[in-house]
Amino acid sequence: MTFVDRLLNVDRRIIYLLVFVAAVIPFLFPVDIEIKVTPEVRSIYNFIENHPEGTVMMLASDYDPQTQAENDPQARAMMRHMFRKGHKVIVMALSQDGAALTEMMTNSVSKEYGKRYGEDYVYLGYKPYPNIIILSMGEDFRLSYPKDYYNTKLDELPMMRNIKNYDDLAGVLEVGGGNVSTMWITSAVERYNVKLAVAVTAVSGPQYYANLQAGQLFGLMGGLKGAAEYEMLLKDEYIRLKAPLKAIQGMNVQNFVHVLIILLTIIGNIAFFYKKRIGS
Amino acid sequence: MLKRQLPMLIVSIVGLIMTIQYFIPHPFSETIYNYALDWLIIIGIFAMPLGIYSMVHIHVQKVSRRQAGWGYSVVALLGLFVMLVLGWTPDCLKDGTFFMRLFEFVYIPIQATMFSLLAFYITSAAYRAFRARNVLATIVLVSAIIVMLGRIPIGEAISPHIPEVADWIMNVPNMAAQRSIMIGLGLGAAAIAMKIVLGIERSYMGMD
Amino acid sequence: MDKAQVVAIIWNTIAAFFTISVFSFMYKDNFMYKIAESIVVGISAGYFTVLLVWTSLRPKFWEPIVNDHNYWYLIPGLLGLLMYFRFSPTLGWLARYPLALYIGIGSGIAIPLQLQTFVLTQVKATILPVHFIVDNRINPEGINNFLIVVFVITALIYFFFSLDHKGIVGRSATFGIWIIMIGFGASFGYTVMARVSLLIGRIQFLMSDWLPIVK
Repeated sequence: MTFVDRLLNVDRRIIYLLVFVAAVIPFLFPVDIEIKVTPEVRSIYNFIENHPEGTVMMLASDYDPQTQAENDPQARAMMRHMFRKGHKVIVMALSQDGAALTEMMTNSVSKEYGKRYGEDYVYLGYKPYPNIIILSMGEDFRLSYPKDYYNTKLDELPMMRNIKNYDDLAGVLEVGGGNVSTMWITSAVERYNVKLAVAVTAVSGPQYYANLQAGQLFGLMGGLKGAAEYEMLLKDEYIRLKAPLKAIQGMNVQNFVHVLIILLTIIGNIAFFYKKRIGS
Repeated sequence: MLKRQLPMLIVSIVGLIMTIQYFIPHPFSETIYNYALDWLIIIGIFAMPLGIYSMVHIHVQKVSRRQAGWGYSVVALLGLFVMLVLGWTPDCLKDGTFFMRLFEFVYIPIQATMFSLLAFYITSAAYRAFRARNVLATIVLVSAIIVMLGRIPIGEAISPHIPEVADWIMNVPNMAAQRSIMIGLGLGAAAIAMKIVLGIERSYMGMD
Repeated sequence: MDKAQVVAIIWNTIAAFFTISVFSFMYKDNFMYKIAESIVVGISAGYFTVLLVWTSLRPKFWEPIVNDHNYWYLIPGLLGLLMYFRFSPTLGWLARYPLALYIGIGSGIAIPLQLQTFVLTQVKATILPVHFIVDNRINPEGINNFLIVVFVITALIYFFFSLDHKGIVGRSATFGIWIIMIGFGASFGYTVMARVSLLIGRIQFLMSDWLPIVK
């Protein structure tokens, strides 16, 4: 077996080990990095920043454990920004496994700002069949959510007394794996003219550029990079709260692993073409 | 008649009503819409446990017939049983309960780690299978490398033009490609919905 | 060390144990991975059932009937229960009724919304101004707009199989597939970032959340 053959048939566990090492190194040797902010993420920042204190916004947290690594930093960043600006936040979850994750995230961030449940934020919880829920909230939140996650009637929550449907919100910021984000565009934006921005996983990110350009979205946060951009914009706030900059830290790791993957792809191609050439 | 024709008639009538309803802003039309959504939420709530019933059925069968791996089915059923017992009261869903700790420190790590294995697989796949065999594959490869470099800090360190090119790729050719796919999918989805409402598409009825 | 810290160490160690059990699959399929897989199936099903009962069934069905006497809700409840007849070999057809209602309403709502979202709005957004020169200077936005129009049209031509892909149509379709391939390459690049992010999440847990508290 020649060197090229050994290279092309290397045990896959060696590749796995290389990936693992590339992922761990940045934790042992962290580097300060600057993340350039894209216009689509800045739009979301400006939306939250430019609304007056007390504006009611919705954070639709539709992610689950599979996408937590990307979506959780996105949701936390936006929620911290909304609380910093003194906005009121309606949180909900349309992912069954995400209901608990969303509650943990909401409780954790609201504690950082000393926010009061029912006055500064509410958590509606989870209901099945996202499309129907999104449509029904356009008529009345109470249609799909007669009570919140803690079984309190919405009318008993001070914040919700004057809130009927999307018309009473400044906008919706949706965090999810991508599938539910499309439902938000179809059902909320097109039917009810909701102002919507989505924070999605990087897998789904590319497809939403078409919606962004068409004006169906006012902002788009794609993957861990999007979360890192938002953390850059809120860096002072994170430092003040002593909150970990998980997305920025993650981009450090992305540096190493991406370079590894690109190098491996190039090496694989060189070996392949070299073998093809000597074979002919 | 009761087994196929009547359900299909319901689909057609209800489908047509809901399509026409979209264009009629009259309060009566809104009332129909609200009732439809309200009922659908409740039907959906009852339908959701179907999957759980299937899962229990499969695992119970595996255990009772002592099929290969039946021990793991016992573990799955035990997990289900423990959660149902711990979830007997509504307070179990509050942060900090034993029920939620099992979810947070057992389910979430396992589920998240299973998906994290994809990082290893994609690297292995990129090394072994991502070949510039022809023009199209080369375009995919070059575009992927530029976007990958453009989205990490090291790309900007190599050259500030890399992120600019990556941004241009995302906002112009990628956007155009996604749009064309979206238009095709949208037309297809609307066509299928119309076929269902008109009774041409009946596969959802299943076999008799 | 107080009780809360001890409890945190225990639970985080359990989480780390299961994380490493699943990672062990990278070396070889093994007993610990299979156990983790089975546990996740059971816990997921149990959690979802409990969540559904307390956050959906109770506030949306049980309480409106029992407390508010809204007996109309019994009808959709009954329809929902009919779904379970799909497991019966003789009465399986009863499950078609709630399904018919669900599919009828869903399809009816979908027709205008799908066309609006994915066709009309997208086509409208492709009708763009293509001024190449503005104030005697090259206008990059105009050039990009022109490219977007050309790229969308050629990509759509590629998907139009009712015409033979020959001559001008064939060349346009070829260019269109190149544009689609650029899109796929961009998607692959983002997919790599997504997959790596998932791994980062677990490494962050092990290195930043678990190891510091057990050291």
